[in-house]
Amino acid sequence: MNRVATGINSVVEMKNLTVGYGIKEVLTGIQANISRGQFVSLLGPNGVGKTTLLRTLSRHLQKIEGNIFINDRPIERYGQRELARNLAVVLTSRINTELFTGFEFTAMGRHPHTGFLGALADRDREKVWEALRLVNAVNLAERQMDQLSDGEKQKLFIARALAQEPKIIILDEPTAHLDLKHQMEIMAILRDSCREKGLTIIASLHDVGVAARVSDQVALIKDGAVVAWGRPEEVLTGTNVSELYDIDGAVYDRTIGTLEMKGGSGTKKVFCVSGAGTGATLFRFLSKNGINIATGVLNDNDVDHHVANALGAHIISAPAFEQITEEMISNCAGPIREADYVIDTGFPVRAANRMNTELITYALAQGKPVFTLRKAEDAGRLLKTDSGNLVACQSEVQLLDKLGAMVTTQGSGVRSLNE
Amino acid sequence: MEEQKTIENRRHIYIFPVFVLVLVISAIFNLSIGTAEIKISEILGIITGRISPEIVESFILLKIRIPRLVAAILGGGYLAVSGLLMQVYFRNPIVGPYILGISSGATLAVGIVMLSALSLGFAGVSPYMTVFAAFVGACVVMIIVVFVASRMKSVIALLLIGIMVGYIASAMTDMLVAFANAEKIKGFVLWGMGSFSGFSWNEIYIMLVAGGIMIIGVYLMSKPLNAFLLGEDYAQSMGVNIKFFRLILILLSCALAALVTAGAGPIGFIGMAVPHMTRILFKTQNNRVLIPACMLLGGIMTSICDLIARTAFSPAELPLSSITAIFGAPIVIGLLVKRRYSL
Repeated sequence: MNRVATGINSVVEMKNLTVGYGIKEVLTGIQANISRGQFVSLLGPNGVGKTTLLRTLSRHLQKIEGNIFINDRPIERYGQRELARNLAVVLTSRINTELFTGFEFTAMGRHPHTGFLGALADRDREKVWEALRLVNAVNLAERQMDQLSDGEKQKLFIARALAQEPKIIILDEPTAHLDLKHQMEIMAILRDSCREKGLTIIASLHDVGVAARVSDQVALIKDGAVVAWGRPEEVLTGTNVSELYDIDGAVYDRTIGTLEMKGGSGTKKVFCVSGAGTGATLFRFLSKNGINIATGVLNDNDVDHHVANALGAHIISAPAFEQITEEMISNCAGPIREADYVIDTGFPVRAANRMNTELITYALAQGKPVFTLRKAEDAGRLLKTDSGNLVACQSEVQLLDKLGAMVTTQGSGVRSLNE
Repeated sequence: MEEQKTIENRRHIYIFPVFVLVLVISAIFNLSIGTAEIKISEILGIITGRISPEIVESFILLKIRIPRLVAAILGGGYLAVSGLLMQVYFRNPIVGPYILGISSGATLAVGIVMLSALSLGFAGVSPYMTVFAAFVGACVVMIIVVFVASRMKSVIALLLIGIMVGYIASAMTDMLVAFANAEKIKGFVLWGMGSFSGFSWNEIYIMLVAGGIMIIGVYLMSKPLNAFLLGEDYAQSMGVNIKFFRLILILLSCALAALVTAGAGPIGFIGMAVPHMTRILFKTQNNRVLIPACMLLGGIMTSICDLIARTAFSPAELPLSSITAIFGAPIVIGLLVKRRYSL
């Protein structure tokens, strides 16, 4: 709520900005307006100029053309110390942190606030402790910096920037080289700093999914220009992301916010009768193993639908929340006949998708091996059959094992199952 | 949170008094030991004027040992601070005025001035002139090293460049000596080996005043120096005017090294080893602590080395640099071997 109230005034504004080194222009014509408390992510392939833009915003590089306004004032009108009180950075450069304790290192951030000789006053110490608390690093205060892990060090780098009490923090790849736990922790710390302290954060990130989750604005940078700048909800579409990174082998799904690897071109085909998210994990496994997936009938608001779509599966769809019809079911007949195996993911059967059970019955009638994740008695009751071709699996893992064994013994799968 | 407020490193509170004590002890040994032994009571008597300044001991103490001791203490301290500045500037613990060839550059410049003055028939050169020449020589070498270092990021490359530039300067000094009249240059050759002997009180005053002002200047810069520990980009982002500060840093480190070299000739390894020793002893990179610590420990180390050089094979005197090298060079090797971080 406080963001809505304070989001009016712009903290960082770029007008027709051109950045680069000397006369070499890297990015041109950048227009952007960033408000208080916003999290802005820069996305784009390596070497595209994200760091150049960040270094220009932090005034480490001279802009070539255009204007940068910090709090509605041109950046070049700030004194060095005054700028330091408004803007802090977290860089990728390696630093010799030998003989620094976590506290001492964080206290370096007080530089623009301390007196002539840099001695810490009580207020400075309080601010350092506050910064350490914000990044959950109070326990690192007495530790030697060079004995810490990369993730712990990064927390202290962020604490140092926070101790500077800036209004803006600029971070270059803040989560590069970090393990998953620290990646998530750092992103959470940064997001909370925006939400709770009203900090404005501008960071280059390499994970589209993470950027989509934390950012208020994202900038897509490619081929010497910012190709899109706006809310991630508008900007991060599957096509935009694929074009941004020139990805052929993967598809970004905006709804689930992840990048899925497209399926391989294997010879095996599987038809999955799924729904309500019971198929997503399975689809990824099949796709990873080069198996072509067909699935249906899925409502197009189903998670399974999004994952299958991102994986490039053949989907027989139904509109969201609509009853599955005869016609849709009959559209599945072809793919089922072409499939080597059919999988029943154990989806919950309700009025809207009851007809999907007929697909399984049909597959059994066609003599296809059918794996089911339902309990044997449930399957029997539901499908009104006890065909020998129905293979009950206790768990997803077991299904994957059984299927995996069959897929690797190429071609012999169906026969061995029939025996 | 209250109890956490006292977390900062406070080692200097008890190490500094120890340093002062050791310096006093070293000074007493320096004043009393020698070809003529002078007792502590005699030293006190001569200094306070109770004992006649006419006797031989008074002459030895007032004209030879005290100037030499003061020069060694000040010179060692200045070299150590100069080395500390270079280590901060290059963000590299293995550099110093001697290793980077700065001292050799100063020596060459002083050589040119002294020998040309001699060949033009002047009896001597004013100490102001030699200091100025040394400063110019030091700056020329520093500019070369800084320029080349900016194109190479490696620690080892920086060292090699310094050593090579130093060799060139020394070679040119040798050539200069070869061309000069053998008798006239005896004093110059002795000076070129590095020694704190033969300082006049006049020269000591110059060293004390000029050096003192510079050391105060360095101490007042300890805040931006600390910011510099994180590298130029971070220092700038914390409010340091990098261009101005870099220039001042280079000028001060050259001037301090030149001031010592002009009077005592090139003295090796103090400028590199002492800052490193203080960092280990105080377990900090905080320059506000390291600057006074370097002054004290530089004085201690140099006065002890000078005592050894003077008395180990008395009456023969060893070159001071040979003693400083024996404890300094292993530190360089040790640092190179155990370097855990790459710069």
